[in-house]
Parts: sequence; structure tokens; C-alpha cells
Amino acid sequence: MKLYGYSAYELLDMLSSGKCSSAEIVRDVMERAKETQPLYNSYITFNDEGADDAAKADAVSEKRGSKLRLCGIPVAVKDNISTKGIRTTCASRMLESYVPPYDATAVANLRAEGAVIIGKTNMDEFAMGSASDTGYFGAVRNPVNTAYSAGGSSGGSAAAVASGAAVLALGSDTGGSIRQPAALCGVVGFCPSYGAVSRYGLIAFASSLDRIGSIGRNARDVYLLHNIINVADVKDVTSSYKKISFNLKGSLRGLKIGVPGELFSPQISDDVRAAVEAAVMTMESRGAVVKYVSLPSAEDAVKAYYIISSAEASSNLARYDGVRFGYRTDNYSDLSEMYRKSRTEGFGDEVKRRIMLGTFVLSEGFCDSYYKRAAALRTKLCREFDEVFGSCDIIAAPVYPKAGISLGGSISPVECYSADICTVPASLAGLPAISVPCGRNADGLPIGLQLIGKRFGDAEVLDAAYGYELARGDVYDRA
Amino acid sequence: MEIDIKKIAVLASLEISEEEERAFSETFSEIVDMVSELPELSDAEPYVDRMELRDDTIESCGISRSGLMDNAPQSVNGYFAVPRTVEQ
Repeated sequence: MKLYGYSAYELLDMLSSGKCSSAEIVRDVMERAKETQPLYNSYITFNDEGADDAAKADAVSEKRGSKLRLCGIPVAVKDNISTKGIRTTCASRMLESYVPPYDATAVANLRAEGAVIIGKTNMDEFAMGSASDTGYFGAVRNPVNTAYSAGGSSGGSAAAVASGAAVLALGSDTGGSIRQPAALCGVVGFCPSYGAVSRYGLIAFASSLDRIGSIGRNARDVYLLHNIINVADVKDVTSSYKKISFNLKGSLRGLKIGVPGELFSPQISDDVRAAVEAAVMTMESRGAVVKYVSLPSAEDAVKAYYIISSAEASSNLARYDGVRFGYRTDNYSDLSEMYRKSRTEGFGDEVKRRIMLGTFVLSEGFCDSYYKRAAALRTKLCREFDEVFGSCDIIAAPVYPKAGISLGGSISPVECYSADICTVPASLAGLPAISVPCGRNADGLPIGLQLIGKRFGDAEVLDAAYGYELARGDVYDRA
Repeated sequence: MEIDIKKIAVLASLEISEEEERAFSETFSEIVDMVSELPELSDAEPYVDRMELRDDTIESCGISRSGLMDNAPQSVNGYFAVPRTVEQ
């Protein structure tokens, strides 16, 4: 078997016992990434220095007498996370030639542990979308079936991991952008507690919601990656000093699982509902205790999410003015025309829609009826979660209403936004949440089980996911 | 509700052409209708997550000035260049 097919934890064992070298792993994965690129379009930029980085990781490990924790493991990085010297575009014409002069903290953490950045993954433009089809570099195809989208916005990261074009990947999740593509591609995607991973170097979309998280083929790999980026950072004022150190046990005995009716709404298709319910029953058969709970505000969470995230986006994206970095138009006669034309030509339609929505909800006379109501709903939802976690350890729900998103299908923005119903509640409340594969529908398309934990209950979430994988039995961890 | 797309575009420093305006207005109205159905909650205070602010301290970051300027669309003698904004 080619090395790209192995999990990170297997490769690290093989490296330790001398069965392969970092250079061989990186070569195999890079070859696979380049071979699958025309099929799935997972990447925007490859890191041509990957082989050198592998050699460096080996040399450092040798010098210190033990392997670095991610020595030689090829990691793909979503293209909205800054990588020093490697182009970082946010899948936008606006940043088509932007090369960050520094690494995001999460990337620096990876490099320090010997991980090799294999390339920058494709996504929705500025992470705004659900099918990785709003970007300037074309849509990402699902490796399971290329007629379908890889999901979004971290579609490239999920597709790369699913197809062996990376062993692990970093994504970002604002309203479900790690969990949903992970579910659709049949991999594991973890959105940690807000504050658990530094946002320094993550190009901002909605700062009170944005999180960097981990994607892998199984819970063990995701746990491995999360532990490396779960580091407090003074450069992110919202980052927490809670370092979550633990070992995976995978026991489900006595685990109290809350099942909220609002997240199993009629919008959820029958195949998704059946797979998620079966997964909960599997956990129950291993000693978990299931309880039906209620999150009344979850039904309105999508509306609050689109108001808050768009408001923050309109402010965050005001920095793109064609002066210090990014695209500048060729045709202008004065400064304001330069701003306007640079932004109009540099941004795609979905980004413009969100900026305009955010501008509208914050504009004079509308702020009280939109932004303030959304903020109040967010508070109410947080309280409802607190109440549920008074009697439950974890919440189980679907990730996405459907098992697949057809590429090229035309759905309205409202339909697309409404489908985020299962992922945005945990986003608004800053809670850790994971998507784990829990079966496939009749067409062979993967379905994800979402497990949501209490704030900084990241360990419980990863452990429950691992417990579910053990209970499920068939481990889908080969590319 | 009548939404003045042109005015929002001006505020957002974006241009919407005449052709785009109709299609854009339609989807924009649908989105605004969707998010308009939020309940009024008078008792809930906005969610505030207290942050520990730190002092700004100067430290070496290893980023050269030229490394930063390389990303500028136009620079002159190490400065960002923009169209003239002040009359001579």
C-alpha cells in the first residue's frame, strides 16, 4: 500500500520503527495530491518546499534524539490561514497574489512539531458558502462522487484528506465550514471551543465565530492534530489559557447524550435522520444514556447567524481597499473610485451579498431590529445550551440536512443558508463540535453524526467521537 | 419592505450595475425577509465574553519592511502609493 493511504498515527509508528522516512511519506502524498488535483480541485497552491521541510523535520528529530510529534506528516492548510512565504488567497481574486510575511500561530505550531505543509486548500471565497463553489479557483469535487460538491467552506481540506492528498488538514469553521464538508466527504472534522485555538493569522470573516480546527480520517488523527494547535496565544485576545490535555479512552458507559428535537426538524432528509438515529442507538448499546432535550432558539439560530456573521464580515472586509495589499483596479481617476472598483472587481457575488447584508443590518434605523435582536437570540441560545448541559454530557445531531450537494445545481441563497440549521447553534454558542462518519445513503454518499460538547469540553467531544468509532467497528480511516 | 440597494452599495463601497441590480435586489429581499423573522427578546442582554486585554509591547517579529511592501499594489520609495487626494 502507498503511504498516503495510512493514518497519521500509523505513519508516526512506522517512522519510529524505521519502516519509512518522512521524505518517502511526503513524496507519496505530494504525488497523490498532484495526481488527484485535476479530479477534485482540492488545492489552490502546492508547497514546492515540502520535500526540504521533510528533510528538516528528520534532521531536527535526529539531533534531539526523538521524533517531533508530527514529524514528516503532510498537512494541508485551508487557504484562509496565513503561511509565511506561501500564497494565501482566500479563494478570492482580491488576494490572488497575496503572500503572507508571517505564519498563523496554528501553522507555526505545526511546523515546530515537524509537520510538512503540503499545500493550500481550495474553499469558498473568504469562507462564505456551503459547497466550495463560490471561489475564484473553481469548485471542489467530492472524492466519493465527483458529481457532488465536497461541501464547504473547507471543501478542499476535507476532499484532500478523504482522497489521500493530505494525511491531516486545517480548516476553519464559522457556521459549520469544517463539520459539513467533513460529513459530506466521509472524514472527521472537529471545530474546537471558541478560544481553544489561536485565530492569529486566520484571515477574518466573522471574528466572534471564526475558529481554526482539525480534519482527519478518524478521531485519533484529529485528536493528534488538535493537541498540537490547542495552544494559548497572546496574539489572539480571545484565545484561552485552558490547555486541554487528555488521553482518548473511548468509553461510552454512562455518557449522557441529549437529542434535541429542533435539530431533527422536517428539513432533515429521511436517510440522514435514519443514519444519525442509528448512530445514537449504537452509542446507547455501549452504555450511553439517551435523553430527549429541547433547544427552542435553535430554529431561529440561522437567522441570527446570518445577521451577526454578515455584520462582522462587512466590517472585517472593509480592509480590502487596494492600498496596502490585495487587488487594485486598473481604471480609476480618484481615491474613492479606486476603492470602489477594486472591491467590485476583486470580490465575487456571494462575498458582495454578505457585505451588503451586513452593511444593511448595521445601517442607521435597522440595527435595533436586526443586529440587537440577533445578539439577544444568541444569548438566549447560550442559556438554553447551559440548561441542556446541566443534565447531559454531550448533544447528538445531524450535521447537514442532506447527504450530498449536487454540483452545478441552482439553489437560492436563502435555501442554502437555511440548510445550516444543524451547525450554526454550536457556532453561535462557541461550543466544540465534531462530525464523524456514521454511514452512507442508498447512493453511497457519506452522512455525518455531529457531537456537540459544553464550552471547553473539547476532550469529552473527541472522546465520545472515538467511542462511537470503536462502537461502530468499521474504521473508515484509509484513503 | 423597500430596500435601497444603491444606497447600501455606496455605504459598502461596491458598485452594482443596472443589469445586476434587478437580480441582486430580488435575492437580497428574500434574504432580508428570512432574517427579519427574529423574535424580539427584551430580557436577554447581549452575550459578552470578557477578554483579558494585554499591554501593547514592541517586539521583533522578523518581518522586513520590504517583505510587507511586496504585497502592496503600488509603492514608491517604500511608501504606499495612492491617487492624489490633496490639491496642489
